[in-house]
Amino acid sequence: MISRIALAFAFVLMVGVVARAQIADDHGNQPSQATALNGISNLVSGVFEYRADQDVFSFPVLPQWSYIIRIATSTVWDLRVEVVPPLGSPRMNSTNTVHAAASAAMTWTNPGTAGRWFLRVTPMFQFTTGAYQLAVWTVPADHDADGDGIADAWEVTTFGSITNADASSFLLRPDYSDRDSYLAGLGISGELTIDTWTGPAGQEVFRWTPAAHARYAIESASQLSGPWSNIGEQTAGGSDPSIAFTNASAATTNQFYRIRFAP
Amino acid sequence: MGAVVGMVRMVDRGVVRWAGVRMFLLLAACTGPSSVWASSRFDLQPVAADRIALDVAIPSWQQHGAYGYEPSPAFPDAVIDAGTPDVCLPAWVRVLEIPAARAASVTIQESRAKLRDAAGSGCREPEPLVTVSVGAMGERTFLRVIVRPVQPDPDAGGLMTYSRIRAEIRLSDQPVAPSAPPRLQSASGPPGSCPDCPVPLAVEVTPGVGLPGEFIARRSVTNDHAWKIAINTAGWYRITGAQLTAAGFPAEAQDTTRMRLVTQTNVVPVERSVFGPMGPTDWIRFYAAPVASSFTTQNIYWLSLGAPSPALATRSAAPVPGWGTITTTLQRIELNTTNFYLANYQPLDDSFDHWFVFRVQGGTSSNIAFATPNASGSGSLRLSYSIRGVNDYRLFDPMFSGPDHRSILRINNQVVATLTYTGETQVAGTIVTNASLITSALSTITVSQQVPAGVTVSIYATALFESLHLAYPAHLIASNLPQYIRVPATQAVVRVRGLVSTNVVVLDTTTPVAPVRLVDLVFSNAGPSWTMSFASTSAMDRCFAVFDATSTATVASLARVDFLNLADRQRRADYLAVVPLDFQAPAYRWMKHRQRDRLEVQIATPDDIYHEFSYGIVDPAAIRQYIGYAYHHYATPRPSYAVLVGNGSFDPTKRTRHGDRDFVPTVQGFSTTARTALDQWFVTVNGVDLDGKPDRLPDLMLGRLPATNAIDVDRFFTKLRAYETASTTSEWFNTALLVADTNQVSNVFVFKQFTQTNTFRHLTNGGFSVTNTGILTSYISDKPPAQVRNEINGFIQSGGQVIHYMGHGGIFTWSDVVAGGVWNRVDAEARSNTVYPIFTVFTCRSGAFHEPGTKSLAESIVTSIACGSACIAPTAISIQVNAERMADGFYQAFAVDRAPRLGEAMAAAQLRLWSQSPFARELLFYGIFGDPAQRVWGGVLP
Repeated sequence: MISRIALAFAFVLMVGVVARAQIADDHGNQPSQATALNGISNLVSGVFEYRADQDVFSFPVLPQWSYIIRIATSTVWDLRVEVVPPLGSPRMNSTNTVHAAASAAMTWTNPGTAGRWFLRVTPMFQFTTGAYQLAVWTVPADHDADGDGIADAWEVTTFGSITNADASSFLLRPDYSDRDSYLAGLGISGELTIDTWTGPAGQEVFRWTPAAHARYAIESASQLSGPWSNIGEQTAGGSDPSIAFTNASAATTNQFYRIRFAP
Repeated sequence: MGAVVGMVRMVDRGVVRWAGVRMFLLLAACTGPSSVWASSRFDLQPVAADRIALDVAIPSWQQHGAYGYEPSPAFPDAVIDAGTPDVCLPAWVRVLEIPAARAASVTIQESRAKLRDAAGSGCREPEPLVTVSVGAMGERTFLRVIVRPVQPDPDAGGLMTYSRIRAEIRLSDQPVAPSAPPRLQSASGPPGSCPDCPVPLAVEVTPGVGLPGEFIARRSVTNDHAWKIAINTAGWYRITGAQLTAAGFPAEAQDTTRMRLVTQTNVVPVERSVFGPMGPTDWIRFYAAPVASSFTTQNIYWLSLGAPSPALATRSAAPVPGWGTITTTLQRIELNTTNFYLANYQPLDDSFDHWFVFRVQGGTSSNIAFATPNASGSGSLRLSYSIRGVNDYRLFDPMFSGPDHRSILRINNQVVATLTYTGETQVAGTIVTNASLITSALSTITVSQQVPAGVTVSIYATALFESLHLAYPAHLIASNLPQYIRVPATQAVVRVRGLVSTNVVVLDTTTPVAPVRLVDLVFSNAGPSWTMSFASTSAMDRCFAVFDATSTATVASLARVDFLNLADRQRRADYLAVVPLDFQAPAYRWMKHRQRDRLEVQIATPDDIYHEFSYGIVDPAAIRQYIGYAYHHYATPRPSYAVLVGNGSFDPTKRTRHGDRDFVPTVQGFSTTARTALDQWFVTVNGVDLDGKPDRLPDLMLGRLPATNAIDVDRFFTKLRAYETASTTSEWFNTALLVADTNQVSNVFVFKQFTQTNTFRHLTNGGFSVTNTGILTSYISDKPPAQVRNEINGFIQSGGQVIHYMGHGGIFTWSDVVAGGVWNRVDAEARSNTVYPIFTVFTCRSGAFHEPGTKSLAESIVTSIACGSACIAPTAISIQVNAERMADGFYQAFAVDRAPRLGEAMAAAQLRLWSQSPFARELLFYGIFGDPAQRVWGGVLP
């Protein structure tokens, strides 16, 4: 008989990997080749080497934080930037420099969990080439006045003030800090639980209710104490009522499984 | 030049023949309360999401001589169907906009009829009482209902008139099954059997509209970039590492074990100098075939990284003792020196391409010289011909009954055929005769076009040659390479003489994408004239190519292509622009202006589109599929506008040796009187009509700027921007000049009357002042032509919003009452105005942009430094009644409904015409020369 499924929760920062293009291209064209921005106040330069070029960047985001994204032309005639969720679609907010002299900016608020989102930068109409600049920074005012890593809006909604909870408080759940609940998109009532699991041993289908745009790692171990091995990943869309993972390990011995929020 | 008298029959349907004939009142067959009507009724009432009730009530009828009946009073909202073939069985049409449907069916629930007298007894074929069809115009859907309440009664030999018809119309999401692809000129393969070597490759792009399930990706590689190789002729090509480096092929990827060569969907075998990483002098070699296309002479191959191309196959061709020997083969030569295109010759016949190679006037002879090298003089030769008579003498003399054409064909003064035929008949065949007629390196074929007895006008005996081929036995001598040899199906040793070297490559190119290299060739004799022997055995004719191994061909171009991924379904656009890079700077400013006008613009070059929709090969079908794909598969809302920036012509491959470049191709199809450019074909991508073909309602609003250089685009955009950024309160808005030609042909064409009663009325209803500060008129019937010209030029110079012309016209002129026209291209190009009006030209051919080597009047209006910012015009002769319907729809939308953009007024014009005549060709050949999204009331931010 297959073992019970253990549900665990952890938070691990991922480091973006820049795939090496086969041709001269300063920034990759796909999310899998994205240039990782380290965080706030990034200012990067790029070049569209050919008309079809698109430069993709990833940047870490926190729930309900707002970010200012600014693009500026250098030698390219105009350009556009779009915010792309972790799944790669649908493309969301965008702005371009057509309506301004040389630069354009937009403010975007993360509707999902902590994680990495993407910025897709393209030459306007894909009809020109040239250089540009991209900058991303957080909107500083009122987002985290007490500096505890939790957005003020979420903190007030959940706890009534911005000072009741922090990374060391466990007001919502005994096992996870309130900051972890915030990062994983878990509010007062939300829980990360397995809704169903079906199928024979080693080929189970796990289904759970995700937070918007959250990324999860699925792990297995022969003992509850570990060690845990990663057997797959799954990323939610913006409004998926549930997502599923099909185990392909074909393990014949009893296994423990856990699904981990892994932004 | 001018409108067509021959179209009177269409003009007068329901107008001329029903005027002024005797009238009498018939009592309605009133059988109950529901049958008591005050007036005729043609009601369409939605009763459910998928059902509509039809109720037609006709209280009484008027009889019109021998022709039939019409309701009395007339239907208040219906119009007469212009597409009904028989005038004595009139039909009325109503069009209802519906939420959605792809097809409709009708069930008659009640019909009451009465037998009349024998009037109309000539109408023997009943038609359906009610016919329904669905047309799509972008996201708007229209139900078109035709009612035919007069029907023949074959038994009684008279007519039935219906007083009541009730029916249920059911709407369906199931589409009408498309029929065979439209027979527009498009890239298509060679004829079923191809006697030529080298064998050309057909372009496998079936014209389609990109409907879901119908679209097939036509991109040769899945990589996001590849190297595009263009070739102009068949050949044995070599590409070196140095060439790859120059084309940006990364050095680390120059590995012949990773290189994949593809054309269309075929992986092409290659020879490699090294199996692995390449140095600068290493190479790959491959055989490339020509392309069979109406639009290009250039075939495209793709080099990319991936599963490698297979090695070129080899086959032992060692001569087999005892087999027969082939030392001669049929050498095929083709007459193609004097190509010309006859657009008005049998214009309605789409079964041939209307290109000809030779014309022989009646009563004359012509000598055609062919080079016939290496003729053996033994065996048989073949002379294949396809000839058409240019005229039918019976049109001149209806009593004439004999053949009116006689062609006598001679080869080197020996008669080989005498052909007699009548009218515009096609005569085609192959003469097989003794090859001894050809013995020298130059032969002459003489065509004598005799005038048969009884034909008194010799021009009627003129012949047009569609093709003339000569195939004669020639010695296999290959002193000049490459040499292409066709060997008949046999088992034999092929012996080729005259080779200057034994260092040759012989390929079997019968299947051009899978050539096979012959090995074990045997050479005899000695240089400088070697003889080569190889074995050939096959149940089918085979093509062999002999190349000089030391002199490979050089590709026409080799360049990296980064695909835009136009098939990405996450794309969204309001406005699709097809713009060659040649116009990059001014077109960019134009599109930026459009984007600032809150339309999401997507630009693709024609090449971008070919790369992904026709394997890189030039083909307008790819542009249509791109537009259709965007319409059906992109994120919503769907695109509404499309613009083609660049000129196109009926002769994209320069068969007539003109100098114009084909920037954005067009397609040729029939109009009523001539083949012409049918640009709206590009945007009829949704909906199928009752004939199973795409309905003629455009689904995007289309414009074309037939620019020939970047200056044209820059000038146009300068005017467009000036027009659109003018203040909405500018005085020149709401000013119009109406110009009309004199009426001719017994007032059949009532240009002035229509303009005055219809266009004028829409303008006044729309708020244009009737004073001279609002609507000016300049009618050629009322004033000297010079005065009309001055008034047109004066209106343009003083600044106005719209100029309307209706009347006779030509490519360069309006009206032909004076030589050179009342107003013409020279006038347009001489203007220096600073307010740039919109021209609407409901005439003939003023928009014939597809004529190479010249500019039509519409082109001059929009691309000259001043004059107009847009022009609506036809490319062909238009039927007056159809022009009137379009003008009616346009000016109501423009002036009364205040359509914000030019394309919307044009769409209303097309819808008006479609409502009455869904198959009118004017739906396809009238177009906007300019920007379909032009804001006609100004106010755009600069």
